[in-house]
Amino acid sequence: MKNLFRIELIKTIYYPTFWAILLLHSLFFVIIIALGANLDINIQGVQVFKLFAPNYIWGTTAWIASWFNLLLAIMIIVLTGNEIQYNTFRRQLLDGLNRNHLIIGKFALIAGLSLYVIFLVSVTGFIISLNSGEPSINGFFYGFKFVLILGVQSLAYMSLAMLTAIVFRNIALSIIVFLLYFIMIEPFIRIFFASNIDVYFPVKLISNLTPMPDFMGMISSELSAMQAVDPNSIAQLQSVPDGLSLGISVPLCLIYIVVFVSVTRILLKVRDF
Amino acid sequence: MASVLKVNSLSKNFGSIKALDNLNLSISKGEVFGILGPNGSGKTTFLSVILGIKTATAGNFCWFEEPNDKVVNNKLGALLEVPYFYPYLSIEKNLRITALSRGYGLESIPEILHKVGLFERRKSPCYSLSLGMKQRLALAQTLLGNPEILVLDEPTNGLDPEGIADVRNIIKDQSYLGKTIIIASHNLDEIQKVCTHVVILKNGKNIAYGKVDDLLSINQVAIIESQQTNELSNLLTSIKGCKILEKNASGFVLTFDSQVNVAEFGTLLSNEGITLNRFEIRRPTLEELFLGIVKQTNS
Repeated sequence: MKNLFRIELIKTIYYPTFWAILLLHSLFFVIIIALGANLDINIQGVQVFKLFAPNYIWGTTAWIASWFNLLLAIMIIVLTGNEIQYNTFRRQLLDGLNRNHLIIGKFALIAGLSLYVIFLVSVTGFIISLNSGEPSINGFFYGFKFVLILGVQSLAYMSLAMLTAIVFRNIALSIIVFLLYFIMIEPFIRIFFASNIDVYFPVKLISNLTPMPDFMGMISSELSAMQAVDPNSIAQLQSVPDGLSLGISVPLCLIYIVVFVSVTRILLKVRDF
Repeated sequence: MASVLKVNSLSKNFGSIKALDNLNLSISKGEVFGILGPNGSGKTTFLSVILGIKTATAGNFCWFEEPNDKVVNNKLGALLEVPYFYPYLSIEKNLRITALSRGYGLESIPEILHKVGLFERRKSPCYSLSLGMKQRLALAQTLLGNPEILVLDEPTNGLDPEGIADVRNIIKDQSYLGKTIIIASHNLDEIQKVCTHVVILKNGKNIAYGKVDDLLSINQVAIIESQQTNELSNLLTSIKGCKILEKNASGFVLTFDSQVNVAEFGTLLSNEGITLNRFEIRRPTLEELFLGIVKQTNS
């Protein structure tokens, strides 16, 4: 097992494209967070920098980080597609690994990248929090669960990306199909299903793990402070029920990850190299 | 001698195409076993199946009398078709991956690099290597960890004459060490120089199989030259067991199988009034044997 991780490490850390995508990922994320936390922009009655205030910081940073999960998924397609294109999966089978080892190696990489996402968001959120002068430890960790859930979400995106690369075997085609599935195919299919069913579709379920920050809740809090209005009444009026509770969607997402990895494993088992 | 590989009724289909058709053979420890055949005869498919890269449609094989179809890759070093490696990694790092995959230490890498003549280039990324160097790297991957069996598919592809001689010497060295070597090649001269046993495949079928010496003694080659090439051609095509390998302005190169009596053949020619300028009988080369057998099965 240790050798599998070492192999995956050699393959990855000496690959320039890996660093290029990782750099883009972290730069985009940090730049957007830095801009958001420092610019005085008003969206839907909420000043954007308030999204980075205590109680909101982790939900906001996790939501923003989720925009860039697709970049990591594309990296997994490139890394898995390379193995097929270079015939290196075949080489490793000739060298004594079995098909399960190939999956374990790639999943270890995916897990490592999910940890990187958690680390990046935690460090960035921590630095932003220090600037906001949050006084208590309890307040600091309020909502931190969204960062951990972001890790699960990244895991799911990348597992689906690995499956796509194994199914289509071609990097460009896999990226196109993967993006089309996210942007067009699944949303189109969901049109034909009732809203209480479409929330179980993989992309919707995975995307909903890191919801957009509660703008309405923030507005209602501010209004209630100014005009003595019940904040719950405004939030109830404005919000549209969309998605499952985290208690249901996180376990379902984990099940999806198991399904993606299992189908990948089956494909690798039955296919000739 | 102990059998290292037994293949029983092995078949592999790609759709309606039979790449391997009911193949049976056995390879013993210490043999240098050649697999010959024209393009598309099933050589690489056969090696892919016994190495676990492709699954058989029917039949089975066993390495070291292990349970059916279990590939013992840790005892095998294999080079299949073309070299496979990560182009952006250096030679040394590619070998590290091979060593880690096999569960061996990294300390034998420099020795292997010296053996295949790549030590000086060990830091070079693989995309910068020539075809011959890539082939040497593939050979290094195969030899790493001192495996008991070497499976080599076209190991001299892309090599210059010096490289071919090096590979031949490596194969001979490994053979002297008692290793079993399975080698598929188009280069029949090379096969004859190193192999003890061969199988000839055509359309996935085994059309000749055995010791190289035994197979070469079954047939004879005749070189016949005469002014009367037309009459001679008509006569030769009518003789059963006689195949024309080559025709040129002055005569023919033929193979005779064991059913042709060479003395009677001479009498037949003189009875037909054909005067020969040259008549020479010798043992065939493997290439002549191969061409004779392939032509025989074509007809």
